[in-house]
Amino acid sequence: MTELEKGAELTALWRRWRTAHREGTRPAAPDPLRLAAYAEHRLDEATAADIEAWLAANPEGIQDLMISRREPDRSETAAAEVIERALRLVSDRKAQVIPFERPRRRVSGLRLMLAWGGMAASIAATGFVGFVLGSDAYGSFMGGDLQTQATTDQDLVGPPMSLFADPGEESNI
Amino acid sequence: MAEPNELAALIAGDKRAWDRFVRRYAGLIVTAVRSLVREGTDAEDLVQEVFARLCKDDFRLLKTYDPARAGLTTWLTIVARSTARDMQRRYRPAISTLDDVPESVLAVTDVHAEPLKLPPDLLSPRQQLVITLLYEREMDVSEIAQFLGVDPQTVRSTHHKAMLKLRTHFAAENK
Repeated sequence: MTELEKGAELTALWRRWRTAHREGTRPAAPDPLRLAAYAEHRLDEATAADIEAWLAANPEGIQDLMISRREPDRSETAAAEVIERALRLVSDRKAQVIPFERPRRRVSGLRLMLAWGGMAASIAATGFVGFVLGSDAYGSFMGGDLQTQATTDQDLVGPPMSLFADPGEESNI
Repeated sequence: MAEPNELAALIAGDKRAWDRFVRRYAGLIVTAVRSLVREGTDAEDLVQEVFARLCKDDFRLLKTYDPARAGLTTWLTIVARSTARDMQRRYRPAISTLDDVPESVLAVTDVHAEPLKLPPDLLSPRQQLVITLLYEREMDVSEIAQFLGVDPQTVRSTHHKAMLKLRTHFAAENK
């Protein structure tokens, strides 16, 4: 006989216990590895007692254990879409991270000098062109002001005296 | 396929190892979460959530797995169901119609009622689990024996001792 007599009195006792038990504090959930070890009857009595206290307060855990004990061969087949979505969760790190490598080509002394010389020449040429363009721009900008200054001086002091002017001729002043 | 080596390669970031892992265990995870599917979610989303949790933070969860302590399929099933249940709780609709709420929840309770108090060591964890399996899950003795990995006589004896303790406790409380 595997069935057990659960009379009305025993059921009432259990109900009363359950109500009171649910009022109390619930034990913390065990980590999945411990629960899995319990499912496979691999825990010692003391550790198993912690799990059993949690299971008594969390009957949903009982269902988890029962399902975990099913034969894996009886699993369903996952749809291709489910698999594709899961595959995309991890990308190929080796393809993503390309290690940086310096070029290994050796540069001879002469080629190195030519390279440095070319770089120096280009810097000098750029500086010279910049200087010339800058001077022209400065000259055209300042030219107007110098002209104005010369005109003003002439207005105040009259025409400049000429070395070749006749000494007898009266000055305009 | 040697599981420890395969897992080591997977955790090291080998994309091909991840692909093999997904193809091998997707069906197991679908089966594990199937009974938790409710309205508003589907099995595909739950499975995706499980795989996402497994590879999150550089495979942090997978790194906790120890083949010496439990089989991978057992561990995966428990992780899958726990993850799916967490997801269901997160996405549970905040509003429910009155028709969906049981009357016991809507009933006004007497806030002055003293909650029943049980001595913490009244029943051992094993006794608590046996009566939960018997009365709440309605499993029979042989199923419980199989669940606990003990013989049926141990289950009967555990049940008997538990009920004896409860009877004595509540009888004293009633006096």
